[in-house]
Amino acid sequence: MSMVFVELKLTNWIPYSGDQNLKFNSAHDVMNMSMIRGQNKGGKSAIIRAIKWVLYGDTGDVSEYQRPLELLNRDAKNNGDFKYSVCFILYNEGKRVEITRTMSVPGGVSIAKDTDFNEELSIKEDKNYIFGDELEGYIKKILPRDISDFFLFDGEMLQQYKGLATSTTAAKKLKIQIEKVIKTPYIKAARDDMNAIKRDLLKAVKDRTDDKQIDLLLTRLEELSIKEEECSNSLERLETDVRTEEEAIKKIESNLRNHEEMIEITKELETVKKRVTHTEHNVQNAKDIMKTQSSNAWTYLASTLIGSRRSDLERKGNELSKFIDENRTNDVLNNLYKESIGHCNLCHGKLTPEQKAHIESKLQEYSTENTSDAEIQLKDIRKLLNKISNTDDLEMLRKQPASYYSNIEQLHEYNIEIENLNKQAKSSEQKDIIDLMQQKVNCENEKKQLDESIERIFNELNGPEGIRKAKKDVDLLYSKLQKDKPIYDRNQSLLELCTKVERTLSETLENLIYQVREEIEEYANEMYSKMTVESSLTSLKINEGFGLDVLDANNEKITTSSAGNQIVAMSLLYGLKKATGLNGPLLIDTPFARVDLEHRQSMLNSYAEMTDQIILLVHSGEINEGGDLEKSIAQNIGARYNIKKESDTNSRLIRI
Amino acid sequence: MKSVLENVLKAESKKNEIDYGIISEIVELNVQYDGSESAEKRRRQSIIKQILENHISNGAET
Repeated sequence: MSMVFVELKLTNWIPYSGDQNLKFNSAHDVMNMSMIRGQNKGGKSAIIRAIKWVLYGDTGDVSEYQRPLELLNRDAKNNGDFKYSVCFILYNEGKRVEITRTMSVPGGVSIAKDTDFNEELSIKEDKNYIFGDELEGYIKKILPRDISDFFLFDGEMLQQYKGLATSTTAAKKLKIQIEKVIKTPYIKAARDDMNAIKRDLLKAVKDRTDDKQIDLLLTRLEELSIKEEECSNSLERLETDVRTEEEAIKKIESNLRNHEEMIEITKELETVKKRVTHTEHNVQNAKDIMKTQSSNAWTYLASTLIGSRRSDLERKGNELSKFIDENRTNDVLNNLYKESIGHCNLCHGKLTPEQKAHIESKLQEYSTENTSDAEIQLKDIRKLLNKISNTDDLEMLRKQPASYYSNIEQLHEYNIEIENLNKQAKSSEQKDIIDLMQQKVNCENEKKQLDESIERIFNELNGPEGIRKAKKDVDLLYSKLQKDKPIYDRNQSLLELCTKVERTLSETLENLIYQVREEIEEYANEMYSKMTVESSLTSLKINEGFGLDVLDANNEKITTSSAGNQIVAMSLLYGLKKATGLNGPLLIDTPFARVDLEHRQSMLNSYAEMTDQIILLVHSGEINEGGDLEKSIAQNIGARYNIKKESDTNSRLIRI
Repeated sequence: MKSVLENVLKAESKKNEIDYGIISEIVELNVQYDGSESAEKRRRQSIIKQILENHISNGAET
C-alpha cells in the first residue's frame, strides 16, 4: 500500500467556519513531517474527525458528532448556511484521488432539522469520476475502515496497544483489526468457502464410486464437512452477537459519561452510606462494651467492700490445695505398688517377701484420705475469688461514653451530608443511572455466556480431537487410497484441487500468525532501542494477543512508566506496519499526552524514521512554539499550522 | 517489502504443489467480497468454483 495525504479542505466543519484548508507536506522528502498546533478544545480532533467522516461517513464517535447539526459550524448555522463539506486529496498507488462528502439542505429551509440534510459523496481518480455502488467499495479498497486506526489515531489510544495482553474490549477490537491487516479472517473465510464447495463435490463423487472403502471415506468426509460448516456458521453468528453486546456496552458507558457529575454524587452517597454503616457498628460496639464494663465495675465495687473476706478465702484455698496434693501423692504410690505385681519398678527384679513387707509398712504410714470433698470446696472458693475483681473497671466505664458520644455525633454529621447530597441528586437522573448500570451488567452477563459458547464450539472445531483434525486425517487416507487410481470425472479433479487449496489455506493460517509475531517482535525491538533514552538492557517480547511485554536482562517481565508504555505502543505500531507492509502516512492526535520531555525528543526523532509521512496534531504543552524540542526537528517539518481559536464557534487554520 | 502473508502463502502453495496464483486470487476475492450474508457467500463460492474449473480446463497442474 502506497499512500500520501496531500490536502484537506474544510467547509463549515465543526469549529471551522467558511472555507479553510490544510496542505500536508509531500512524503519521500526529508521534511516529511507536518505539525498542527492548537490549544485543547480548539479544533485539533476536528481534523481527524474530518478525515474519518469524509472516508466513512461518520466521525467514529459513539455518542457525539453524529447528527448533521452537531457537525455543522454554529456560526454558519446562525447565518442560515446549512451546507458543510470535507474534501480530502491524496495520492494512492501514484494516482491522485479526490474524495468529497457534502451535507446540505434543500433551498427554502430557514430552520434546518437533522432530517432535512442530504448527503452526497463524490470520488475522482485522476480525471475519472467513480459512480454509484462503486463509491463505498473504492474507499474500502484504498483504506479499509478496519485498518484506518493504524494510520489515524489519538495519543490516548496508544495505551491500548500496550494493553493488548489483557482482555479488554478495546484491546480485543484492536487484535481483530491486526488480524484483518494480516488477512487471517479472509483466509479463514476462504477455507470455509472451500469446505462448502467440497461438500457438494463429495456427494457427486460418492454417487459415481463403486468402491465400498472409498464410499465409506467419502461419506465420513461429507459428514465432517457438514459439521464443520455448522460450527463455523455458529461461531460467526456468536461473534456477531458478541460485537453487538460490545457495542451496546460501549454506548451505555458513553451515556454514563454524560452523567459524570451525578455519578460522582452517587459514588459519594455510597461512600457516606458505607461510613454510616461503619459508625453505627461502632456505636453498637460502644454500647456492648459499656454494658460489660458496667457489670465489671459493679463487681469491682463489691470487691472493695469484701476485702477482708478475700484473704480468708485465699488462705482456705491454699490449705485445701496442699491437702489434695499430699493425698494425691499417696494415691500415686499405692497405685504404683499395686501395678508392679511384686517387682521393682526400677530394676524390674522380683521383690523378696521381706522387701514387700517393708514397702507395705511404709505405705501404711501415710494414711490416704478421700480428697473429693476438698476438691469441690476448692472449686467453689476459686470461683468466688475469680468474681472479685482487681481491675478498676469503674475508671474505664467513665471513659467509654466519650467514644460512644463522638460516634453518635459523627453519625449525625453523616446524615446531614446524605441529606445534602440527596438534595443535589435529581431522583430522575439517579434512576437513569441505575437503569444504565443494570443494562450494562445484563449486557456483560450476556457477553460472558456468548464467549463461553464461542470457546466451546471453537474447541469442538479446532481442538486436538476436533472436527478439522478428523477431516484432515480422513482426507489423507482418501488421497492415499485414491492415488494411482484413474481420475474418471471432472468432479473428482475438482475435489482433488479443492482439497489442496483447503490444505494450503489451513497450513498458511497455522504458520502465518507465528511468523507475523516473530517479525513484529524483531521490528518493534529495532524501534524500541532507538526510542529508549537510557542505555537499557530491556527488550520486547510479543505475546499471544499481539501485545508486547518488556523484559529485563534476565528475561523477567517488568512494568513500565506511562512514557515507557507509549514507547512500547509506538514500537508495536512500527513493527505491525513493517511486518504487514502497511506503508502510508501516520497522523497522531496528542502524541505526547503522557510522555516526559526527555522521551519526547527521542520519540520525535524516531517518528521521522517510522514512516514516509507523519502528521502531528499537538497542543502547545506538548511541543512549545520555538522551543528546543521544535528546533531539534525543524529540519523535518515541512508544513506548520497554528489553530487560532477566535471564539467558541470559530477556529482558524493559519499556516506559518 | 513483501508482506509476510505473501511469503507464507507462496511457501505453503509450493509445499502442497499448487499454483500460488489461484490461492492468492481466492484470498483476494474474500477481501473484496467479505459479506457474511448467505447470498453473498453463495455468490463468492460460485465465483471461486468457476476459478477452480477454469484452472482445470486450462490444464494447469494442480
